[in-house]
Amino acid sequence: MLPGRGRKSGMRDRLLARLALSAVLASLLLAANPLPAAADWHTFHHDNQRTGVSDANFPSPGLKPLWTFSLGEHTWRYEKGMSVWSASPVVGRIDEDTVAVIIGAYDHNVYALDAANGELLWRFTTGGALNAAPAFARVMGRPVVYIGCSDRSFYAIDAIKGRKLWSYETLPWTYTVGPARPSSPLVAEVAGKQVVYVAFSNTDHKPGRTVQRGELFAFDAATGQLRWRHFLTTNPISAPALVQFHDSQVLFLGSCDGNIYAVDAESGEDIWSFVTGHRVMASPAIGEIDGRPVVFCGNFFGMMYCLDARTGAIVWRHKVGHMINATAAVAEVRRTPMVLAAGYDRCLHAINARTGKTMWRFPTQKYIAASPAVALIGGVPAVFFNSLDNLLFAVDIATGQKLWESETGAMLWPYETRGECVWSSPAVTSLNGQAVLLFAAYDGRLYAFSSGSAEGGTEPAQGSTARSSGQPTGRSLWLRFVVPALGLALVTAGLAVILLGKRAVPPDAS
Amino acid sequence: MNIDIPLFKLVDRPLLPVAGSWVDAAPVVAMFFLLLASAYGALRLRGRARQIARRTVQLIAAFVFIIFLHRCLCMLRGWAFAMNLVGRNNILAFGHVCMFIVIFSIGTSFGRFFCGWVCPIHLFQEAIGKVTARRRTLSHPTTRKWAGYFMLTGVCVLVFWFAYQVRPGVRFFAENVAAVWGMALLLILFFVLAKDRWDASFKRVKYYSMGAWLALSMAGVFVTSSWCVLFGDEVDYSSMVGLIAVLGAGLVISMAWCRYLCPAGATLAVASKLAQYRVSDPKACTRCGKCASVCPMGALEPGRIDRSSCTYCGLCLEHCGAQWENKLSESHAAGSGKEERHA
Repeated sequence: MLPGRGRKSGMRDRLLARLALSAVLASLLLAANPLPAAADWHTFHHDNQRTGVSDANFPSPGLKPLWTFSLGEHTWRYEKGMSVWSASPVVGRIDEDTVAVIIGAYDHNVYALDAANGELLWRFTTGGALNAAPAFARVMGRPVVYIGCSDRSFYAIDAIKGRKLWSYETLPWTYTVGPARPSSPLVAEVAGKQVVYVAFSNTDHKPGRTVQRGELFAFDAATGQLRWRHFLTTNPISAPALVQFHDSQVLFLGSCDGNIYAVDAESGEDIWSFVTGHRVMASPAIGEIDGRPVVFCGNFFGMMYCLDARTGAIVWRHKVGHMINATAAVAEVRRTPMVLAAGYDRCLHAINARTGKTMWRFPTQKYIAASPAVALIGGVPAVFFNSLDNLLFAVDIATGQKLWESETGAMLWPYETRGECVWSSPAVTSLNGQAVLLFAAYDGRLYAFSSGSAEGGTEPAQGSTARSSGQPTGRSLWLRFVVPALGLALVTAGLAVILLGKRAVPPDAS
Repeated sequence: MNIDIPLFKLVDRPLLPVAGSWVDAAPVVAMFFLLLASAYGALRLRGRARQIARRTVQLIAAFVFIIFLHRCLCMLRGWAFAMNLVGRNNILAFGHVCMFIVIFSIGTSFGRFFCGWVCPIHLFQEAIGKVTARRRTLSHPTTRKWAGYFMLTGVCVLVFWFAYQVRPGVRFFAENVAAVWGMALLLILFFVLAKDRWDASFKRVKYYSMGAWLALSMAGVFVTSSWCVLFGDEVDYSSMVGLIAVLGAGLVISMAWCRYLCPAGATLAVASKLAQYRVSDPKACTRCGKCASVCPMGALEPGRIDRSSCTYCGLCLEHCGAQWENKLSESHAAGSGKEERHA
């Protein structure tokens, strides 16, 4: 935690922070993402580097519901791997007047909603649940939505009319095939052509000839022609992230086999792989430390790794308390690059990306399984994230203080299996200059929040700051000291009774 | 409430990766050799040498599985996960099931041998039990009972306070199995303190514990154990609450967790029905009761052995005169002369 400073100093810091954040965003977007408008959240975790950073600015922390959208009916049966909606909604401008929120759902449908009012624009039905986030891109001037489906197919959908442009079946149907686990796609320009990448994990329980394939696919974005497919592992694979080097483009992927893979985007050849100590469920996030591109990725051992993007060498590693399921957000505040890692230890960790040391932690009452998103509130960089007690938070990145929180409905299913569920993450976009927070909550609803007037803003709750600045109240003092002291006193009393109480046999007799 | 637990694993990447994955064969190999060394120590060594060998193996096991290697030792949960993963992800399935296979296989020959010679939780409970054990033997029964009530109430206050501090927002049971099991253990102890003869009845609860644990695991609930925090290096509040309960209960009744609730111990107790090597009850037994007084699991009574509770610690063999030295023998070898090879 950074110490408090004067008002002028604070304003200067905020200005610097905003400038730095904008600079990082501009450089990232220019480097490898020429397609969408700056404020669009066009793919999982905002961009191809999976930074989770948007430059949308909420004027005040008092975010209020703008609209909600709910499925007509819900599946009440718990299934492993299911998600209420998708890994995350994406946003793209489909024509001059309309910005669409595109999201897949477990009811086999892809929905396109008007971002302004939440009205349904179109719906596209697939043959399976849609647990991975779609990607939005403009291909040959036409807005297109790409999405992988558990029916083992990859779809390209016209974003205006909601019609299928092309699809590709990654594994033929048999009586014994299992549901596929696709990743969120990535669209990039490689060697002068737009290419869409997606990872699929397919299984077929054919007796004696079991199929378990985790593959990376590269398609021509316009025609759907397969450029290459590359077998990586027998395990599920996370969404790829892309880095543009001066001589090549490299994709980074995590896998449940514990590896982080680097693959050449043009040829699909392996460059390096790094084996961690446990499953990698998160997608790698790309950042930069002093001009050197690095990969941030956490695993189920709770270890956050920072790897050199070129060589795969460890720059640092940092252990958080429990499993990391979510993709980290990468931001820069006060010239300090930061990694925001969410863990099952019920904390959001802000880690200094240069040193790998904790800057602050924000505790919650429940696991944080989904990826955090970064945007601005009143010019101050803030991180938006949700915990599994159905709360959505906004926290000041510089200080770790809570700026806003909101409650969503209760989760649809009675419990979840760690490592099996797909958790939707918040997304932030800009709609005609107005910042909008989108969150597909686990109650089966998609929520859109926007900032109210400055007067209507919610003040940060007392005692809700990061752990290092929290002061115990009278009640918590009683709970912290009196009750445990009573317990310890009773244990001590028991021991004392044994030591000093009536003896059955004199000590000498032993 | 947040608690910092620093990284205490020396190795956090696989030493012997299976098919290039995170699944590490090193802990399984380590377990196999530890069990092999234990078997040699138990069968070939005698008296004090056997106890020194046991302590050495226990300390090495604690070092390997708590400090050195990152490895989940949860046999039942691992087995249930593996069954779910077969066909979907065979490497992961192998990673989860291999430890169960090694330990259970040894269990079919030696019963709860793993508990008494390798399990670090057993070691910690033995250690904490020694804090009060000597005094317990000297104290008047009424004093012991009231001291037990005091301590148990204190541990309950601490456990429930801690559980309250780290309570989750929703779905308490499904995500806090270790804490629930820990609290159940403390409640059992109140009953056992009230009436000593209920001890034998409550020992059967471990089979229900095993069944419930297995059913929850198969249903997909991420059951936590009181040892996750040690073996997994995880700030898992449920397992921390469970661990405090298990260690606190060990102050009041020796090896309380292993006696009444341990689901892994119950699995090995089932395997012990097939065990080839057992502590036997020789005809020469004088029913002096010395063995019963030293058994930490309360498995012995004059003329009776509860084989499902015996962890092969061998303490009884040291306190029973010459004719008891050969009790660790083949169960079906009585009268066949095979006992003599251990003499």
